[in-house]
Amino acid sequence: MPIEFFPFHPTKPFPLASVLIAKPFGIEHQPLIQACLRGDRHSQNELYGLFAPRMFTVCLRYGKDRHEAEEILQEGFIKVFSSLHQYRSEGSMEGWIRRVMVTTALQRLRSRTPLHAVLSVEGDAHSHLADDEKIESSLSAKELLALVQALPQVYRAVFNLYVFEGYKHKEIAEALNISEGTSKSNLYDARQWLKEKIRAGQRLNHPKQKRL
Amino acid sequence: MSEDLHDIDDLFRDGIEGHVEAVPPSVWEGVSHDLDKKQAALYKQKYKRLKRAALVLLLLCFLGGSYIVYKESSGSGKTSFRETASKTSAESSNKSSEEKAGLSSIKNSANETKVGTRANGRNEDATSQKQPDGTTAPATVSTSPSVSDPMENTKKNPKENKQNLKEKTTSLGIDDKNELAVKKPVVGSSEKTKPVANKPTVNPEGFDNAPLNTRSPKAVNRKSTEDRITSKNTIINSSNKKTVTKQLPAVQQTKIAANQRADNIPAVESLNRNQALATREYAAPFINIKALAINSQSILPPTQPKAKNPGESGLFSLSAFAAPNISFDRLEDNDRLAGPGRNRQEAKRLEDDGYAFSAGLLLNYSFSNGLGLQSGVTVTTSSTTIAPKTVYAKMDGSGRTRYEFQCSSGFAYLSPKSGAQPAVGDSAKTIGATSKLTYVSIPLALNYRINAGRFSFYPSLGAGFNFLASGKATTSLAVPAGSESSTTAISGLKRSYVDGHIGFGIEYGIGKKLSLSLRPNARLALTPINSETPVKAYQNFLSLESGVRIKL
Repeated sequence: MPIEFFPFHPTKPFPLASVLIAKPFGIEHQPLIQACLRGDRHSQNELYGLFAPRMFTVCLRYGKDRHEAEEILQEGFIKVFSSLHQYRSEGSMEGWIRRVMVTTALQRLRSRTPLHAVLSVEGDAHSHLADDEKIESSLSAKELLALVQALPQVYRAVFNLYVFEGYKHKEIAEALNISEGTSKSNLYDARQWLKEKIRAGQRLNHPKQKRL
Repeated sequence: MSEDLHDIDDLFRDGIEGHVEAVPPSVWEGVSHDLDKKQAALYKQKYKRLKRAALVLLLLCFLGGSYIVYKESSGSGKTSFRETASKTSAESSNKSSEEKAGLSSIKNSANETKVGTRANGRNEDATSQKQPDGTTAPATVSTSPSVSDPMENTKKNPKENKQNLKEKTTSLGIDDKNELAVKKPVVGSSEKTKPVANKPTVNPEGFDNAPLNTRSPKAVNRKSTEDRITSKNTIINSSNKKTVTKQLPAVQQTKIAANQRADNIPAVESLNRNQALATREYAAPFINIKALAINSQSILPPTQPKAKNPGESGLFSLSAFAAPNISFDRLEDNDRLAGPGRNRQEAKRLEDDGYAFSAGLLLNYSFSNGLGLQSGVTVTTSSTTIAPKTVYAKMDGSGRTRYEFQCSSGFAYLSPKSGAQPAVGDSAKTIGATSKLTYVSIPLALNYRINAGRFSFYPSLGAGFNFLASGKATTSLAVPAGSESSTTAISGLKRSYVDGHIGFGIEYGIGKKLSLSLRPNARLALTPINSETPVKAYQNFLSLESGVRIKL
């Protein structure tokens, strides 16, 4: 059953990261929220300025490139201002906006192409690494983002929903209209793919590093 | 970033989460553009409803006004018809009574001959009777019990009658009371004439029995009789000198001098003729001047007294109203005190007009020419919401160091309830603020009332003197522990200001003394509400006053 656009998912907990990082945005900011509801452009700009940078990072994870991430961000904030009256100040404002962005990204993915389950990942023979292999990474956030963007779209969606949004495989299956097994399989493949890419990068940077 | 991780999930989560990317400005431009489009669509939808409601209201007003006008015009028309009908019946009854009076006077004057008088011609129902000797007895007047048979009288004492009539004719039979017929003497009237069948005629012997009833003149010797009568019969009203000419059928009428008639007409004949002419059916209605004088009759229809503007001249009335207001303040920079961050642009950016409401009691005095004077007491409350901003601590007038909160109305000093007092130059953030102003006003306005049935319209123009009752600011100051809310008086407000009023009211009367009113009104400040502040504020309102008016 596909997830309809609804910022609050009844069964999904708030992402841990958003709870830790997000500042309380409750009663004290009511005047700002009220001003945004009245359509005051300055207040809306202020709210946008508070959350847009972080939300852009979220959109970069879901978009295949920067341009698509900008489109998701723009569409997401339009939905934020349109449905701001639904925000009940019961939780983090950032978490609420984040859900809006994720839902927008998924809707965009669903509307564009059907999310075909990719059962296998083509790659090098040594791409299947053992789970217990240690990975040393010196990649920056931008490089990691680029790696995530490089994932095939289904892997990217599954990886993002599982790792960053805290979805369970059952919820991922409902959101992407795939089976639970496919979700697990795709997650595993995504992890392997990313590991391989990281390793390939490390080998390029440090050719003398031994493979374990 | 270099970490020894065995979990790819943690690597990506820790590496990416918390990362902030710069957003290109084009994203906000796109968001803003789309919001503008949605807002425009919303306003269009909103005003579409208002436009429809206004159109329906206008149509209802037009239909209501048309109905009222139609009712007024049809009601007045019916009334005039009724009045005319009643007048006509009154006049006819007056005429009949006058004719009766005239007839009775004639009857009295001709009492000696005991000639029967004729009642109202309409009541006549005489028939002729044939006598055994071949003569035709004159018709008798059936409706007048007092009328004796003239033939009988003349037969009894013909000679006496002749003598009496001779004496009488010297006066020409002119009755100076009201009227009398002056006729030409009829010569050779001794011939017996056959009375006309179905004609109530007074036909003494020798009297010209030319048919007096013009309805069906069928006398056998009519022609000869008519030939003899060459004079015009006239009825002269000596009082008003009116001449009413009556024309016998197939008889030319000419004016005859009274003296000639007197010489030519045999005494009995002239008197009888006079009586007959006076009482004949087609006698012209006369104008009884004396009766007019007594009864104060007027030939002109009575004019209705001009109705006064009902209850509008020289009357006091009391009005009570309540009005939601839309405030649109005008801001100006105080050239001496304005500066960066303390000017009208900043105020416009941070402030938003909230609700405004007014209510009051007004006393109206109406002059006779539709003008009216209105005054009373009104109370107006308005509020403004101020967005979060940074405030800085400075010395106030009392020597204390507090945070100065500036707004378009004036300024307020905030001091945190908990924690240390600020030092000069310290800054703090307000989370939100609301300013609320209350004024008591004394308006003075002139209005001109136009009545249209139950509705009345009154444009008004005037001024108001507004006195400050309360000016407070409620602010939430961000403190380390959270936030603190406080309400302080706004400094810099003037005690009073003047504004101009212009409005157009519509009233609907629901009784003799009570009426409902609706008045869109604009109040434009002529003087600012504050002084010695960086921004001068002029408080303007658009209001829709709805209320009741009671005539005292």
